[in-house]
Amino acid sequence: MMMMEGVALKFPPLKLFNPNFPTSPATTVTPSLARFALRSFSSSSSSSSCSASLPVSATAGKEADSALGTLSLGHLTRPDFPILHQEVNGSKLVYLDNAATSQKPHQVLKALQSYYAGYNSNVHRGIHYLSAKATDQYELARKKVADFINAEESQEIVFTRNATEAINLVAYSWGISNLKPGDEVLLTVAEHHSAIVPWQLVAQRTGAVLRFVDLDENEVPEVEKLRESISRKTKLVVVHHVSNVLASFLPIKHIARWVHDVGGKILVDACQSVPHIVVDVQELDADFLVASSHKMCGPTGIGFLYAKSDILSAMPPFLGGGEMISDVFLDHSTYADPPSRFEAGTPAIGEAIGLGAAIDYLQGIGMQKIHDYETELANYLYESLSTIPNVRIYGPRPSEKVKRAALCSFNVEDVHPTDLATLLDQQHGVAIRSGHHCAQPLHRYLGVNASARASLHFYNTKDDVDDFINALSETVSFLNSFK
Amino acid sequence: MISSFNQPHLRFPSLTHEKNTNHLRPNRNRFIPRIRIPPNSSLECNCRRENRFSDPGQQGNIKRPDLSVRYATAECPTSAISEPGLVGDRLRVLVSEFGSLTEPLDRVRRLLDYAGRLPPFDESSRVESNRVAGCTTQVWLEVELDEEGNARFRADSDSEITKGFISCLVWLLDGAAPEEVAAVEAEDLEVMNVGFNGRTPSRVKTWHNVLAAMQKRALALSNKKKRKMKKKPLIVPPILPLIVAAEALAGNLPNSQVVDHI
Repeated sequence: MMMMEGVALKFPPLKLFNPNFPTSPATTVTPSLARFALRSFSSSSSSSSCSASLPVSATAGKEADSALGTLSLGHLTRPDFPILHQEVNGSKLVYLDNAATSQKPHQVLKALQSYYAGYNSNVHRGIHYLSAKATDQYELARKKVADFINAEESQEIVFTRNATEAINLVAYSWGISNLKPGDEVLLTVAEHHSAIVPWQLVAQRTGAVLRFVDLDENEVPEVEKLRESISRKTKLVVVHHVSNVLASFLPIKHIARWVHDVGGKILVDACQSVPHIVVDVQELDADFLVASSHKMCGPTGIGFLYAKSDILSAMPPFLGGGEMISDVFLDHSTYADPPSRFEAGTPAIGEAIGLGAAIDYLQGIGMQKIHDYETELANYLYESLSTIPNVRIYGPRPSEKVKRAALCSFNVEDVHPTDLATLLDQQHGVAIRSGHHCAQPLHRYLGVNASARASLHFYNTKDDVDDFINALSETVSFLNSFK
Repeated sequence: MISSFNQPHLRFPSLTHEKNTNHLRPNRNRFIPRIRIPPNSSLECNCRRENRFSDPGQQGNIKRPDLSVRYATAECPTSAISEPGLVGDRLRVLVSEFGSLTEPLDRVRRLLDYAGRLPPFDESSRVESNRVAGCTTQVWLEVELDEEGNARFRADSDSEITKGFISCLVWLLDGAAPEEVAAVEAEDLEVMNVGFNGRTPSRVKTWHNVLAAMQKRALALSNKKKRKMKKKPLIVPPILPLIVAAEALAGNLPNSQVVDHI
């Protein structure tokens, strides 16, 4: 049996999760086993654009699967993320702030390094070798994004700085030219600030009206109320796919159908869904969809807007400058076709290529596999957190019918979340977030000023959850001892 | 409607929004900070503090801190921190105290201890106008000038660690001249930093914001007072008429508007 060099051979607790059987229960392995089997992930990928080598460096060799069980996806992928292997404040880092930003595998780091060391050059206009290579790789990254979300063509992907800029693009380009006084834009109280503020600004300029749907008794936006609120006046519905606070999912496919029936459009904030589940824009029938690279194991500084090609073609420019023009005269200019029309100036070339590498990595594992593993983690996190006395977790309770994302926003009675986060970091190396998570209206609706949030990704394990819960329990006891 | 699942008894009074009750006057309790005076400290609070924040019955009592006791009550009952540089002395005590705590958890413990000693802050003062902006936790701050023009502070927060910081800041600066308040720099108090890594000011460094707010508001009040003093009209005694009516001489002084039939 080959021992994997450089792999931390810390065997997890007895229950292991076999990521290759999405619906199977955890298999049991005795810790005395000296052998473990690792699967090759590339066999499960069906992406035609996958060009990376095997994503998991621990697979120094492919081993035949055995009835002895496998390590969890988290344990298998952790070695690919160098940043996770460090100590903070004297304790090992337990990174549980993935909803804020995800970590990057060394494949992405290598792609960035290769770009800047090997072929960094401005794209689209250059004649020379480096420029041609950079352009090819940049456009290949665009194709990878398109394939990742099943867009019809690459030209439907506009690279932006992040999802926030993508929503602003839609607001200032499509919104300003299509919204009239009295038109309605429908949102929920659980939207991220980036999905609310641009529409407030545009509503002020156009006279459109914003309407917000409340939560139901399960702390999920009231879908029936949303349906009833859609009318002929509704020109746009702006909704999250997965909530970054409530961990709830919205039925985008149904909402899209309702709004299309009245001639309106739907903008999907997919920041918390694209990194974690299979997202198919054609199946959802989304008109606009936005996501950020840094939440899906890609670099910061790049994100994208997906929009149906007929919609994009009719949209006026957002930012003006180079790249987005066709001809420039002194008194007027003509504009390029999409997506260039919306990509003014030199883009984040290296970062787009890094995003492409991140997509290769994710495809190598398989988004369905990631989804299934994270569903199990989500349940484990929720159940474990529920054992803390006087805890209040926001969002729906997970069940057979109701799925939660692998994150929990919560409060502990009479303890400020910032005090919790401070001590978890200082004493236990556990990184969580405290605050309003860019969802002030939602917190106001829930009647709190702030909450703590622990959010997981596929490279987290149940051990991480256990470490978090133990640390949280100690911290709450410590803080309560002063009352 | 929002359900509470299996936690029906949950109430989070410290995390709910304050009501707008600014028609109620705040109840001013005397803040008596407790500090541990290290041995051989030169800090002796032996001056009187008479101001509208004092309880009338306590006026005139001077209390020296008992240096042999682990926790001394440092009452500085002075209407002004009359000795210049007393903020400096207090700062040295604070820095020495926290600096001697090498374990970050001990600093947290000390802060939480001080948090418990902050006097109650009136609910009616938890209003938007008293909020300190730019903090991840909620902080309310009231600043006034006493009769001698020294700054008086009252503050509160919904976070215990922040309350600890506030408690130290109020002890440090309460009763000081606004100029002395303004002279304190955040770097002087770096030793108090608990769990906050990095040097860049950020939203998490709440106590930086609180210190800045205390300084800004104290100076603003002081400047306002000085402007008022400059504009104050000269009080001139009334000029009495040289000619008075006969009735006035007889002791019957009509009002000045009536000049009767002479």
